[in-house]
Amino acid sequence: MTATPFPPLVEAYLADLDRALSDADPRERAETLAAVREHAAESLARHGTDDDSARRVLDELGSVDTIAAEATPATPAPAPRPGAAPTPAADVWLVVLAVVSLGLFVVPVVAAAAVVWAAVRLRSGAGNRTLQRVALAIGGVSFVGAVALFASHVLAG
Amino acid sequence: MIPTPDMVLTQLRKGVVEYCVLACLRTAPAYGLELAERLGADRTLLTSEGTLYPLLSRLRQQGWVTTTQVASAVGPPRRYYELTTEGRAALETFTATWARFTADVRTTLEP
Repeated sequence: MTATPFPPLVEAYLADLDRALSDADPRERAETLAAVREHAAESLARHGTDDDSARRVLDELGSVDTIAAEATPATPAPAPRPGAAPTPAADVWLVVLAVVSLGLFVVPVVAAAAVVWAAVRLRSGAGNRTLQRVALAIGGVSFVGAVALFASHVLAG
Repeated sequence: MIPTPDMVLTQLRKGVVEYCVLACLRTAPAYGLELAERLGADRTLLTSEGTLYPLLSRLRQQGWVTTTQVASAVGPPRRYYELTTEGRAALETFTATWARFTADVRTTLEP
């Protein structure tokens, strides 16, 4: 870094370079910018700071886009994917309830509760929809089984 | 599509120019402008002098070169780049491999 101010042409070039490197790896961006600044300072100290010298220095450095093209792109932050969202505990308990209702299908209240809860969760659009559908299906089977058992008893009686 | 000489050069530079930078530092440390002038003289190895700097940053992050800021008697302070032991070893591997590679390329290209 130098105490001597750069000609406006060079300052504008450095600002452009900083912008062109906005998608680059942050460390590479900072180091490249500092090194190009030093290069320009050294070159201007040799050739003079008039506009012609500044133009010559910038011409040798090349376009900011050419420099930016050589830089490593910044590592993108992992984008949150809906499928990667953690499964809420509520949906796991929902499936557990539905499975329990299979064992307790003579008491269809448990199955009915599982079906209603699963339907509510599905309608809310939140959580793990696959688990919610599984719970709805198991709860449904359990409830239908209980109704069928009741019906067969009534008909047999 | 027939490639232009610039397109061929862009491809050929990949994986080669960084070792040319290391080779420039083999005998002594050097500062940015010095390296840029040496490598960018005929615009074969570097598209333009500025393209050297992202490359130098990567070499430093890789641990192949280190940098030291040194005051200059004639101008602003200079950032000197120096080859590390690891960088020297990488250069030796490249130099040996490059000799084999270019020998084969030359033999193949000869009519």
